[in-house]
Amino acid sequence: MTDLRRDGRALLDEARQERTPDADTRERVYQALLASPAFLAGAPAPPAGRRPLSATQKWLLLAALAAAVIGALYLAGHAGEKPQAAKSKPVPARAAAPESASPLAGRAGSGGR
Amino acid sequence: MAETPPTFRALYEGHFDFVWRFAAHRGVPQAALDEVVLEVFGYVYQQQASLEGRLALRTWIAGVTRSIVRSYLRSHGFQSPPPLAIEALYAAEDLGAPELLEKKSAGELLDLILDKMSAAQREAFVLCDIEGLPAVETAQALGVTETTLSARLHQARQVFNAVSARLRAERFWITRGSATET
Repeated sequence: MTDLRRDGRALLDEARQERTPDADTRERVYQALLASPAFLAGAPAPPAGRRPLSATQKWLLLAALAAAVIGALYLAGHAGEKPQAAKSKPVPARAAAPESASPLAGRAGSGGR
Repeated sequence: MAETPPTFRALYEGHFDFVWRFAAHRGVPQAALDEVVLEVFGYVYQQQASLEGRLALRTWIAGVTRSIVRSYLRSHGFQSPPPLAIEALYAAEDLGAPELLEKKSAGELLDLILDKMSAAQREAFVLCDIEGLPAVETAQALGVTETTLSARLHQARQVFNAVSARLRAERFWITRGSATET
């Protein structure tokens, strides 16, 4: 890395001091800032999404999550069951026919050459 | 642990000089400094709700200032010069007549040098070598890696040494130096 020459550093320090504004400038700009539209509009409130939840809100959220999980588990556990009314209905003849009723059924087992 | 956000007035007092000098050394004309600095702090004021827990406040303000200054310079037609070879800088004849150079202040002389740098080199040089920001902070403020910053700083210092050598060769600087020592 290139280094600055010593007299170059002196020039930088002198220029830095020269460019440092005085107290009057600082105050003048601050007064202008107070009268600027950005200041008069007021600082915006923090975004709602970043506001922390209150204790009650946390409990409500937890309860809602627990209820959702329990509901989902219950539904998953009972998903294979048929309703009571469906059990009493007569089974259609075709669906209830045994495997052996098929004309090909006998051949499959005894099919020698 | 997050720091308590400073009040806006304290924030303004603590960073005003830095913002002002950064804008001035970056090339904003004296007459427009009020406007640019006002815009920077207007933005900072609008964003102060999100400053909570922001540890590197100066880095963030440097980034905001850089962005607003760039926008100002672009919209007002200020352009950085095309990069010159360092040898060309040593031989440059466009620094002005010695009798005029002798009357320039340190800030004006520094502007002569900074005007020879590209925008990226100038930003790196002003933040690191004039304002004394650490390399990590400067790289974050400029949105570059430390390697990139290091390369830009190296080039900027070469430009600085070359042009300041030219100024010294005009002997007015030696006169200035002896005048300030006595």
